[in-house]
Amino acid sequence: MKQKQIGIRTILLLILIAVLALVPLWIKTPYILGIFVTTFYIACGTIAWSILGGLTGQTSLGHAGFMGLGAYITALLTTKAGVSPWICMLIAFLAVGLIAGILMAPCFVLSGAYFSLVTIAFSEAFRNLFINWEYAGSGQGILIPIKKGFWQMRWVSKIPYYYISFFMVIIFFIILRSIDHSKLGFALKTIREDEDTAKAIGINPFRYKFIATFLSAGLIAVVGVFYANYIGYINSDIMDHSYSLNYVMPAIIGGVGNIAGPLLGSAILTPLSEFLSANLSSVANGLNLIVYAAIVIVVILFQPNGIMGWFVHSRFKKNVNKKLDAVDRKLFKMKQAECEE
Amino acid sequence: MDVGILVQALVNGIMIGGIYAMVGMSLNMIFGVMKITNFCQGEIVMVSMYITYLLYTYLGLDPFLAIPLVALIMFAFGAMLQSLLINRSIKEDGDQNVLFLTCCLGIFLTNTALLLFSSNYRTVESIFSNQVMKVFGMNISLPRFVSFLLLCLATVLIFLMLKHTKLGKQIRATSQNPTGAQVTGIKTKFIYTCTYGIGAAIAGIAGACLMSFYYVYPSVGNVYGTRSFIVVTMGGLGNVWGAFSGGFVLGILETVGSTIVGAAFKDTLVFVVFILILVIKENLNIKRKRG
Amino acid sequence: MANILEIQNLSKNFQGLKAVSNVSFTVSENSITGIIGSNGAGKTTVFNMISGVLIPSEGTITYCGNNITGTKAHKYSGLGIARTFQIMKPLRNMTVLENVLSGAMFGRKRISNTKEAREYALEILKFTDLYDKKDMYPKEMGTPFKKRLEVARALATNPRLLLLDEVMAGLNPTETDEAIELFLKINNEGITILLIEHVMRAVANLCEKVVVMHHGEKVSEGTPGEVMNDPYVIEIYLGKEEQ
Repeated sequence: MKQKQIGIRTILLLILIAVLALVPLWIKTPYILGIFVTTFYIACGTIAWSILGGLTGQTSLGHAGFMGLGAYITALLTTKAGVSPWICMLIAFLAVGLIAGILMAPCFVLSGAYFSLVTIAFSEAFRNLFINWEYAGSGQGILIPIKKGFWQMRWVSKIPYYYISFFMVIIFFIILRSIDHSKLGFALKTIREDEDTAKAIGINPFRYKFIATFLSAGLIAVVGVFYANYIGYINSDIMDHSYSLNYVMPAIIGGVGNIAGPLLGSAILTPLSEFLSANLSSVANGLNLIVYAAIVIVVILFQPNGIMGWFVHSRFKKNVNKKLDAVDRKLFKMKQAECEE
Repeated sequence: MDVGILVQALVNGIMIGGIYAMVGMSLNMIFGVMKITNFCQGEIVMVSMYITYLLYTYLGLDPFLAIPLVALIMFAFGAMLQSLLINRSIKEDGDQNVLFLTCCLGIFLTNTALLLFSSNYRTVESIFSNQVMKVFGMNISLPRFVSFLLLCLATVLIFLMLKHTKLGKQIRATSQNPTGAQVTGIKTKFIYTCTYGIGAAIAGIAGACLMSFYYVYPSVGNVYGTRSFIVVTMGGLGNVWGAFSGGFVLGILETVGSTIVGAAFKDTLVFVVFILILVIKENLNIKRKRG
Repeated sequence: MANILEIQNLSKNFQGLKAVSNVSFTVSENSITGIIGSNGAGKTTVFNMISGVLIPSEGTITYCGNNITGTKAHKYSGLGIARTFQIMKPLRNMTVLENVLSGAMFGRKRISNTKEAREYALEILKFTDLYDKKDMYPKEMGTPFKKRLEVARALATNPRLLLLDEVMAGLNPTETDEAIELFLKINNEGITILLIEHVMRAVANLCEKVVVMHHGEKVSEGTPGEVMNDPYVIEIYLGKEEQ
């Protein structure tokens, strides 16, 4: 057995985290920081989506609905009852997770496109309800006034949001990774590949789909809480099913079913889309999304498994691994030498 | 509740149901033959509405007269989409790929429309515009009524085409067993392209009719995309008659439902009924299979 | 020897069509029992009823003295019944090891610790001669190995009764012999095997008891030798001699 040791991979990862953590020291432009924050929360949303869509293979196209529910929970609780957004995160996670799990439970028997349709129907139904719910601001939405302070999660500066969202990405990724490696992850992946086989080896699909839905919807509701406090204003438009695709497309680009896919995909797509919308939408309205969709279409056509899907089976990965291993060996030797001294 | 209002709602429901049925049928045609769920059907309707609009503004063609031309253009458009894009992404394992592709195509088309036509609502005048027919005290908008008749006619024609023409027979054969069809010498790829084209053309007819009494804007497809799925799942995917009747059920549900629960919550009602039907159907199906 | 499985008067109707009617047989512990019959004889339907995929219209299935008729499919592996599928269902995007691993985690052993499960799965892979292919994906392997993988995954659930649905179909004679060897080895570990098969030679070499089905009914039962000399069975397989 290989012994666990701090290798070059861990070091590289730590360097990346450190660099990202120090970014706000160099970059003070709110616009660029904003791009980072958007990338982070889209990455969180994509990770949340991929628990259900990637690991379990149940393609949800209605996650904007669950995110919207989370956003509304914090908007209502903070403005009407003065509850701290931090507590709202917990409430949203549990409440939306349960709501989604219970509402979707009867739909777990549906497969493929039918399941996707049901998720669209749910998010559109939520949207319709919130448009007409006067207490929640109807069509006008809810404005969350700025009350400074850590407890209120409202700042004028973008730097605190940068760190919160960055921290969320790390937590979300750790959650996804540990699910992937756990027994739960194996159950979900087996269900994704073949439900009959899953049953034959003793996996209860209903139970595990419920868990996956709970986690997935609950986590994206947390993203919703963050979003509402970051933007400071929400309305029912955020539940529109076209918004759901914001959390699906990065996963497609990165590779559905691979845990690094959502991160990679959003790291590529979100800055790109922000750049395009800043530079193209002023020239020609809609052009940014045309380019965006065209890129995704090209990836789907020529690399249907996404970047990670290609990478896992590629020779490139073998070469990278070889080089990293070589560095590892050198490092390890150095350490041994140190020990011997 | 006044019976008169309900009956009026019922009639309106049947009129709008005709459009839903038509879009549903186009979706069903594609699903029935290729077994793919086309998530950009609504956007195809949107494209055909803009084509009708363009024909009207530049050539002065009445939307009703433009129908054959729109259908033809949409056929070419659909055939092109299928052969260039969709055909490449059909894989053996799962339909996730096509689902993603058609979703992205939807975004692409919507935003192309936004780029070309901006987000303004646009309307077209037809010979029947703003005319109302009074039958038994009910008001029936004439363009809707004419559209309804045209849609029924188109449906009958499609049926005859599927039953009696060579192409129709080949399409039916391919839908039942692609491999078998291929063995008998049918070019299945060509048939797929034709089917998608015909699907788009049917959606085009619906779009042109819709244009005669409704307005067009880039995201109009969202409404008809989701609606067409509801129609099709109510009637059963792959079942053309099912889609036809599903369309009317949805139309009636919408109009009658909105007079009962209020227009604001009409959508919620529709979606909840849709989810219920889907879940109940699937459970019955499982029960029947398992014994 | 005690009976591990008792099938009594099992029938299954599919909307008027009688797929299986009034079939009874027993499987004794530690034995290898085969079900043979032509296409459409109802073999797989019987299997699906034993493994909970279908609910019998009539009749009972008794396993280790308990009536398990109509139990949900996912509860069977906990009882110690594992099955393979006629149409191979490898978990496509998982490696061979991961395929077997999920069997190890959810079967009768219910190993929650990933590391322990991995070791157990590796053991199973060694037992089934798949160890050197552990990091491959199912699509990179040929049919015989895919079939073997099906068996390995079922085996990883630590069953007492293994149901094999045409695992030797499509194998050449050498591969069939290897498979037979594997099943004898599995049987030696104390696992009872019930299999459906077309390949006569395999059945004759493996099974202690054979059940012959035809048009949904059991027509004969006995040792391979007895069954093959049964005039009715010969008639079904070779046709009636012209008088």
